[in-house]
Formats: sequence, structure tokens, C-alpha cells
Amino acid sequence: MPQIFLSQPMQRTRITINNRLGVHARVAYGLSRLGESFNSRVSIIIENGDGKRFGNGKDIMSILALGILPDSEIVIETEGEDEDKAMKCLLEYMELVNVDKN
Amino acid sequence: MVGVVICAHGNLAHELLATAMFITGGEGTMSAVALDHNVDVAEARSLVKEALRSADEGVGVLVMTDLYGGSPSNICMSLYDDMKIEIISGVNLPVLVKAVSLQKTHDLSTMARKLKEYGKENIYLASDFLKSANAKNQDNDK
Repeated sequence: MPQIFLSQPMQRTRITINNRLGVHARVAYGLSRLGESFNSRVSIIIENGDGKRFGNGKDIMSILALGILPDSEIVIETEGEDEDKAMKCLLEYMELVNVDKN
Repeated sequence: MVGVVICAHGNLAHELLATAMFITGGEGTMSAVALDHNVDVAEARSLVKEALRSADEGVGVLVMTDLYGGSPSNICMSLYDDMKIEIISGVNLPVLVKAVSLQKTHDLSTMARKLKEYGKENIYLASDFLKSANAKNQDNDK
């Protein structure tokens, strides 16, 4: 009998980085620690014309390695049992840090 | 919670600690021991021992030293049999920042092994990225 795999729904939101320094160390740290507090998988993704680069949203160095510059777009994905709450909190955090106050 | 102590030459340990605390917003429990180049070995050993005792909450202390074979590292290694410690040499900022999130959730031995690998994995050669980005830009210009 063929197996049927049902993919879980996933939260996916695209945001623009508006602050002067992009996603720098302190922002990446805060994002990773918040990501760690959820059971869901958290990914930070850069999509451009020739492909995607994925970062683990629970790891500061994985986020920093994406080199997220001011004015760039990122996609946040959350997938798992608490994906709605995770996305809500991550977006709130990014809104908080994504203003030019650094 | 596993204690974390940075032990290094000159003022390096304090600077690393201050920078790690800046990035993490003061989260985490870490301390620093600065070993002056002229300090007496017995005195330095006693200084380090005291710092390790203070940092130990009963589950051990992860010591991060700057240079394997250097005096701070050798002094910490001389305490290995007497205290519940693990020592990582070649401390860097990625390891310190990651230690904050692991110290509450991992035991000493697991944390030490994870951080050793993490430190190595997070050293990058910028030209690897830049050459690849430049090659893509040139392709796009054609």
C-alpha cells in the first residue's frame, strides 16, 4: 500500500530589514534565543534570483553567516506544533529591533 | 547550571567576557581570570582555583583558555584532576556566545564537546564567500 505523507502546515512571512546595521550580532543573538524557546523548526531564509540560503533560526552563527544587510528581504519560516506562536513572537521581536535605533 | 570561566593572557579574558555580555545582553553566568605575564605561577594557580570554585554550582565548570600550551591553559590543566572541569583551548566569541544557551540545558561533558566543534565550524574564510559572489555577479553581467 502506498504511504501517504501529509506535510504539516507552515508559517512563512517575508520582511524587509530596515535598520542601519542589518541583522548584526545582538539582533541575531536575540532572534536565536527566541527561536530556541519554541519547539517548532525556525528558519531564516534569503531568497534571491539564483537560489535560497537557509539559516537555522535557533543558532546565532547560522543567522550571522547569512550576512543580512540593511534593506534586504528575509523570509522567516516556522514549522511545528507551536509555529503560530513562534511566528507571532519572532515578528514582534523583529519589529522591535527593525527600526534604526542602533 | 554549568559554570563558565575564561582564562587568558593579559586582559583578553575580560575583553572577551565584556564583548560576549554585550552581545547576549548580559544573559549567562560567566567570569574571567586575567593572568598577567609577570604573575607568579603559584599565585596564578591559586587565582584560577578560586575562580573555578566560585563558578561551580555543583555540576562543574567549563574553562575556556586562549592558547593550548600557554601558561593559562597549563595552569588550568594542572587543576584537572582536583576539580570537576573541562577545558577548551582556543576560545573564540562564537563559542562564548553559544555557551550561554548551552550552560542551562547541557551537562559539562556534552557542552564541552559541542562547543569545541561549534568553535571550529564557525571560523570562516571570507574569500570563499566573496569569490563565489563575484563569480555570480560576473555571470549575471554577461
